[in-house]
Amino acid sequence: MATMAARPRRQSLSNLWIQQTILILVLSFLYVPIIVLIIFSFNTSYLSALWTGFTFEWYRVLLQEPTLLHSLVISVEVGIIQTVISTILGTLGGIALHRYNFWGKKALIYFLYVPIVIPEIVMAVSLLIYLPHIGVPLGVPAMVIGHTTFTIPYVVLVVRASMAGFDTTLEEAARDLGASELQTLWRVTVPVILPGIIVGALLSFSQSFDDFTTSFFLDGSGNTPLPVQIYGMLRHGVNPSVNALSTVIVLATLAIVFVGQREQRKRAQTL
Amino acid sequence: MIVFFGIPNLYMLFISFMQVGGYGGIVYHFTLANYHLLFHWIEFKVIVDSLIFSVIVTAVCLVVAYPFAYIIATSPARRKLILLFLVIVPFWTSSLIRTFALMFLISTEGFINSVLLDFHIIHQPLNMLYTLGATYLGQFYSMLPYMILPLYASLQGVMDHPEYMEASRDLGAGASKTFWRVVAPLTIPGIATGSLLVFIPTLGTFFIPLLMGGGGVVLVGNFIESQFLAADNWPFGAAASALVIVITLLLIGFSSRYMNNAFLEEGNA
Amino acid sequence: MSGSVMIGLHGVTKNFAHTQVIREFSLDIYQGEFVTLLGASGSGKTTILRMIAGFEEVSGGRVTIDGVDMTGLPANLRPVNSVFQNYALFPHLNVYDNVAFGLRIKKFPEKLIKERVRESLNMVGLDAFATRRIRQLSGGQQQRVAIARAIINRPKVLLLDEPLSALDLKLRKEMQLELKRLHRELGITFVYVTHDQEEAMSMSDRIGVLAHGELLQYASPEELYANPASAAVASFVGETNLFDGTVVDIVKGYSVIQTRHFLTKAPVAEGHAVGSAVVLSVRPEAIRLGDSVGAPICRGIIMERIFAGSLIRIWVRVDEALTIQCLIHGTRNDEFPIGEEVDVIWEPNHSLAFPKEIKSLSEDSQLLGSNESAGQ
Repeated sequence: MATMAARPRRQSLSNLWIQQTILILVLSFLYVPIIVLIIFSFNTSYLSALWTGFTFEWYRVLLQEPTLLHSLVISVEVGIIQTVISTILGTLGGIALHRYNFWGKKALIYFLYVPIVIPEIVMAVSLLIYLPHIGVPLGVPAMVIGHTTFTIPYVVLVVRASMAGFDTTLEEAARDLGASELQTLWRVTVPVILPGIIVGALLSFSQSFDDFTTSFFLDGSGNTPLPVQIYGMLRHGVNPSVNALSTVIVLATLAIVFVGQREQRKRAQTL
Repeated sequence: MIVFFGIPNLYMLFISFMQVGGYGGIVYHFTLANYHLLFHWIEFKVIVDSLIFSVIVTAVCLVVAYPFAYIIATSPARRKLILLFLVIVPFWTSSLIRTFALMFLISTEGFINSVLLDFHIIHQPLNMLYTLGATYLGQFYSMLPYMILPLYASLQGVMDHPEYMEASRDLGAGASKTFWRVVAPLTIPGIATGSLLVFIPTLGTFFIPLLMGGGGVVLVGNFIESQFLAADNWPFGAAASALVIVITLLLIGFSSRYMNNAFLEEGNA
Repeated sequence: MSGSVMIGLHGVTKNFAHTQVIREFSLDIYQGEFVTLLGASGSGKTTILRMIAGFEEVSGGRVTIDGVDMTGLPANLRPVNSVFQNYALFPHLNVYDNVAFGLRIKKFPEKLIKERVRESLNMVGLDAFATRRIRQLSGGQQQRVAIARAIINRPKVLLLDEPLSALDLKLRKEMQLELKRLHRELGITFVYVTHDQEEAMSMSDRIGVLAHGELLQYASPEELYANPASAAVASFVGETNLFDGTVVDIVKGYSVIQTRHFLTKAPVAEGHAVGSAVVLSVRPEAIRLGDSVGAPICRGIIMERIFAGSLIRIWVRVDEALTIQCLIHGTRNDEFPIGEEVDVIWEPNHSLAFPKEIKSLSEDSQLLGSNESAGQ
């Protein structure tokens, strides 16, 4: 480490070798389990974790599993609804936090990030107590609210970052050309930071779609989203259709991250 | 607008403090009595265990992530982009699924045992899953990207100013002195952020000990979960939650002050 | 300077937090005038412009545009448009959509918009660029788009906040001419803000010189140059040498002034009395060196000479506290070599003596850098 610090550009051979080793070790640690999981979702053997042949059988099993399809529908439903809510509120909040200075702003920012930093289980159980108390039934509505609490901060975070690179004289220019405050927001501010908003929405959806802990406490009965369904399957032991399902979710995440990264780079180019 | 959706959060936190009292299970009465007393007896060990667990996981993450983040930060642009992408993917991948992937690897009938048995390296499957060690591994695996990314951001900030390191070398500091006296202090905000991002979820973890530890490992998260879903003793669970919140907020308060100071110094430099 | 008042500033003040950045500022701008607000950064010129545009609310006083009180009226409802320092072009829209923005907001029919956009782009010579993205344009082209976008609404007043500061010298000169042409063709009032006195002098009908939120003088460029109202204006508009002195006598329309280094005369002006402190201003080009006509005012050694086209700029050092800057019509290269001792001469009629104001003394000297010789 130390020798690398001093010479960031000219590195000795042994340093390079150490670096490569660290890279490979950490990356394989992160990826080998997932890759093995994906490979074995195509394995013919039900029991063994040894390669016996290639098959799509487990994916076919998935498709025929009505409870899984139902779970998928629930996950997507919760994901989309809460993404819409968190994206709208988070965007407005991010813009407002950037634009206005008001009493207690700093406290509010800290406060907004509380759901990110408080252990999720604590947030989940407090919602479990609170939501039925104010009349929100467990199930999809409770999950939507639960997910929104921890996805809004991500949207706000990304939008605020976009706003930091946003030239506020653009808003003055729009006002100068006759646009009202609302027109300025809709025709200038939002379009310019749109890539950031899209990234925020993608993060929001993927966070919701992947969420286990909050859903586990708030799903009520008959509304099991995918991750909770997977958890149930895991407790009954590992089997290849869980591999297949996990593979689908991992690939979906990969796609979302990829799109998000591309949007972010696009934004970097336009500004 | 902000206040509109801020209020539920406040309420939720508030309520989790308030839901301490009545023993009937689901019903609530506002009695602030005796929960901390219950705590002292059974809970104390669970809390301490969880804190120790979190400290160790955080420390290991830091030790592994720092060199890795450093390598990313000093990589050429194109390689940096790829490496970052490779860290971001697991960051956003469901940790439940990543935990499962690990289970698949190390379970008794899992990949590693199957391979080892097949090659006759061992004759009895190794008992790796459902141990405390597996719980550590699972948590570490799950949290590592959360440490790498903030460290990377911080290190990148330092690398953008090679003059700091050059000045240090110029003033006669050797390689290791330059690292310990210039680079490391400048990345304190990243270290603080990363540690917070690892420590806090680890403190509240519950399905990783369940899946990887197989019920033998009980941390605060498991305790809260069982109070709410199994024992139906909500006030007790809420009390434990309140304690976790207090610990969390104290940590945030402490480290955010630290981070701000470090940021200010960076700004002035 | 005929016609009606287009913009009226009546005792305008502006406070930010607890500091007053504009004090009791009054100024009239006539319809069709090209008026420049000239001042160093922090002089309040941009704040004035922003109060006219409606981006800042006045803390006191009134702004009127075409006779209408603008108090409380937001920027989008004022009959003025702005060209911003950094252009503020919308990055998500192309050239055409940027220019069309104002009309789209007003919900004009697309056909009319098309016509007007073409006309507007035509005026700035960018008709071929309508479909370009903003970041495909050079700085000068962006500048033109910003102007086209601002004039499409046919404002009564065009406000320009240092619009040329981001351009290189050659392009700046070009755009100055371009702006003059546009001003003529459009026939509307231009209010221009700059810290560049050359730019102000070459473009404006009238210039308002600002310092510390106050209007020092408001006059035509010629008037400002010939008859600056104060030492601060003299030093800001063109270069000048300033000398602290005291009036020791008044004889036949001239004040006799004693400075630390010499005794001289200057035309009597308001505020002169025997014993009063004055600041004497002598422009570099009014100074002659070493010839025998007239009595020398002081003597010094040539410290530095810089060849500047048809002129030679020479610094004459009288002693360590005083160096005088002169601008001499270049004759021969071997004239006035460094190190030569020369006489410094100027006509009393080419100098001005301003009463020294106790209040603004420290501020002015800050503005000038030194209270005895400018342009070091």
